[in-house]
Amino acid sequence: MNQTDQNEADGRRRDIAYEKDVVRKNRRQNRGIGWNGKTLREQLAELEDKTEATDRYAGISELSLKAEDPIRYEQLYSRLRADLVSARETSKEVSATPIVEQEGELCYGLFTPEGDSIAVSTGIIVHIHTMSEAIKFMINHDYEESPKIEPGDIFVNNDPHVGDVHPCDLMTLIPIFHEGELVAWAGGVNHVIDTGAVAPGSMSVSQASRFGDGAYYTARKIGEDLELYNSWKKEYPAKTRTPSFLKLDERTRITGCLMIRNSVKGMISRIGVETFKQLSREAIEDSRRGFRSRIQKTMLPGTYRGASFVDALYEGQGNVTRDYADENHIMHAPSELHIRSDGSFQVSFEGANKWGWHPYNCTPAAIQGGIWVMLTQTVLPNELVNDGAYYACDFHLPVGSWANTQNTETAHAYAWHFLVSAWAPLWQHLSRGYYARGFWEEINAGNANTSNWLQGGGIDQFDKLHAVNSFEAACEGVGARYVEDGEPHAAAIWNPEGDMGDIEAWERVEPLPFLGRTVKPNTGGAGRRAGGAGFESMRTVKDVSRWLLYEMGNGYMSSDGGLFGGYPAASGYILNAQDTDLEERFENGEDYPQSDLDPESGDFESKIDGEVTRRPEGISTPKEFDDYDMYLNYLRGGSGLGDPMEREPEKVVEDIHDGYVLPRHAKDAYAVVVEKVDDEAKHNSAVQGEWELDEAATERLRQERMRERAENAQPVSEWCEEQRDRIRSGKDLIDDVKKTYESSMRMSEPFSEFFRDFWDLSEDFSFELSEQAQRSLNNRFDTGCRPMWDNHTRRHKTWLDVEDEPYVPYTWTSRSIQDLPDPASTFAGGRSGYSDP
Amino acid sequence: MTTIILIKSVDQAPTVREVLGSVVDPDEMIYFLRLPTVRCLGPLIQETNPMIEYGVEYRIDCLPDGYDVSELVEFAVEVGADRICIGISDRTMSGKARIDDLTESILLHDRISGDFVVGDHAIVLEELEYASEC
Repeated sequence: MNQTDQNEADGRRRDIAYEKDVVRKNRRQNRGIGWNGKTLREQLAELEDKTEATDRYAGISELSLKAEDPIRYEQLYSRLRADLVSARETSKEVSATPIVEQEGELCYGLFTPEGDSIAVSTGIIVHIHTMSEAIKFMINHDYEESPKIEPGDIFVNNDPHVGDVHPCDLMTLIPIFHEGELVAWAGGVNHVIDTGAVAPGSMSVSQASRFGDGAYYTARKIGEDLELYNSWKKEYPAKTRTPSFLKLDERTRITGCLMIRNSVKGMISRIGVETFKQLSREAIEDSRRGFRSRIQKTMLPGTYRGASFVDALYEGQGNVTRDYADENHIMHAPSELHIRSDGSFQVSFEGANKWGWHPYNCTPAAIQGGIWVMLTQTVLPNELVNDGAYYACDFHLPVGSWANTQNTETAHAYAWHFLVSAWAPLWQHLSRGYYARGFWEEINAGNANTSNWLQGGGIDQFDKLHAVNSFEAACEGVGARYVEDGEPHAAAIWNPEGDMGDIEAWERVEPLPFLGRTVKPNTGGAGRRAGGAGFESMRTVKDVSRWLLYEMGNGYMSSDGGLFGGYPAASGYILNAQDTDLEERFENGEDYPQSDLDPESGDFESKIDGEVTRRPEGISTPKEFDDYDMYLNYLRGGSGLGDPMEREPEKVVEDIHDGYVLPRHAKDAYAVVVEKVDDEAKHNSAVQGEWELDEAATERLRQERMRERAENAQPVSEWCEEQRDRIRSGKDLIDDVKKTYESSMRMSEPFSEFFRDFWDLSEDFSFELSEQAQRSLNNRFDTGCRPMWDNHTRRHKTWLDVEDEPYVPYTWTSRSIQDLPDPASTFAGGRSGYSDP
Repeated sequence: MTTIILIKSVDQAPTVREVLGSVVDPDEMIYFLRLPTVRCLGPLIQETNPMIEYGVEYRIDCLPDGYDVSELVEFAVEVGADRICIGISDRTMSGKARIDDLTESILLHDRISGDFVVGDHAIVLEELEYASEC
């Protein structure tokens, strides 16, 4: 360490020793570490009471700092945020994983003493609210008394039931003190390579419960005086297959947190602690008002309703850890968005089906954080992103559903699978509002299902135990917008700054050489505006032993449905080749597969001999792979918007040349007829040759398609009658579908009433299930709750069942419209927007 | 009007409810004064939600270990308290509120005088007047 760094470290130690002394003296005087001698729990309780009573954060009525000197307010806030971004950009270079260094799967937040985020860095900002929950958990479970919260302490958490999405996101939290008072928390989180789960990788898929998810660290103190405990240093490296990477990840997070601590201390020395406190409170209230104002300006009051589904198929899979987990699941997410006259924003998942013996279950922190990050990319276009948005929203998450298991037996390793799929209708809710208010440039058909996840591990090319977790999934196609096509292979909804990462960076840490990487045609949803295309990487395996790989993603089902007549993005599939002749092909200089651009062409199979597995599913449990086996990593596209028949034919030709659409798909999906005019020209790897539009043939084909549509169309009433017959008879319905709806009906009496009423079913209607499906449902419903929180926060009541009546009134009945003052209800402030905070 | 509620135990939610519900008016200022016998009022605030349920403004303060009653009185003078409310923690066999040492010390303190009212869960000293310090 050079002298400058040594001096800084010494100064930090002295500061911590001094602060600790003040805190301990205060404690002897019965004073807590909160403001003005309050304990943290008192401070949180008071904050929640005042916030709810006034509908303003902390009861703040005037943004006086902002009002008195708006430029200074913006400067101060921007400085905080810039320092957070700087902490991220600097500290990520400490990490050795491409997950952090390439993909930027890292973020930082600055929090109030009560755990509300004041400002966030760029990156995986979903965690701004998850870290918030983790801090509140520590407060409400009296960590101030034991193990104590003191200057220089270091805490870790990765427990979704406390505050996280899934256990591979490890967070570090450091309290920041000033003169014996806790003035803020610095928090950092990143996605690690391996959690020590039953299967190698960060998001194991084959476990039935939490006990196979990997190591859980439930809001633990792991150090003091900014030094990690020896017990911690000895414990966690042994709980992962990749200890060196996790050690560097931890140093990354601590580096960033210390940079944030320095920033806060510096700001306090310049502007004084009272101004800092005021800034932290006002920034959150400012953001809360901004969110509501934005809702009032861009949406219409009322109830927006939709539903989404995604598959998780385990029946017949090998390596499932429990026999009772050998079953298929379909996630059902009835989704309602209630926009009230005051601009309040309520999301309800009433009718969501039961959690399952799979790792895709969610906790409220995951759902709220997840939806929150989506809102920051849709509703909040500015940098004032903090927990103000959280305070502007309510979430009704039925206890016992996949969205809120309240059961610490459930597995959560890849909660995103259900989470990302479940919020697909939210894009549509918002887009419908935007459309109605004329904000057409804001309309988006929805994000891609963020898969596939290439994961696995074993003995790597350096003869070491290792695990891999390709984060190419941080680069998916984006949904089509109303005014332009979706961006191809651009980002992931959970990380708006995602990237596919350099091939060389992945190859340094993964014994999986790339044979090719290319745009994947036909993956973006067709539409007047096309969904952004996904991409694919063809990988082989080299210099490994006892190596496992597996897939994770949507298979038969598309979780996003397309918008305004646009088509969904393509669903997933699995392609592997084992026991191949790839080595011989290399030696002989022969052709070999570098892609699988057209899965139906037979091109892949024609270039390799071996045992080829091609399945229309998205999830597989770990399978053994040897050298020269092959694995396709296919990253999904975004959904389309508008009728594909309305897409300009010339644009479809451009799509062909850009590799987004195959010529045969142009005809099938867009009714665009093209002709190859030159074999030689090469625009990209997907299509060889030059293509031209046949305008006359296209016109004829489109007219023919429209005629076919008219001929095939039927009145909705007839269609409903047909579907009603299917439901009543149970014929032509697979057991998985019946189990899904039966589960939702058992979960929710209101949903059950709605379902029976909508389909005109008898009052005692239920689906007839197979004995296995019945047993599985009974088993899970009988399991009950095992909640983690003893003392909930006030805001948890929006998803807690309060005296048998959910706090947020769901509207699968006719209540929703009646909740508005009158059918012509609008926002009080009119078109000008928010009038009264 | 300003009211001090002395909190000796986190179990004094009935006292708080009685005072907030039937003694004070909405928009009054309340001081929850935590005595050294209780470390944290968080659970009590979470249980009673004074602003949501009763519409009162409030602050939480504490008295240090080994405090003297005169410090409490000084605090009352400082905030201009019109009332001091003390929870009834014990009753006699006949059901009368037992006046504990703290309550007695406040009642007998030579700088403070007021009306003495006994409720179901709280003893209230109201219409407070303060003598100047000798």
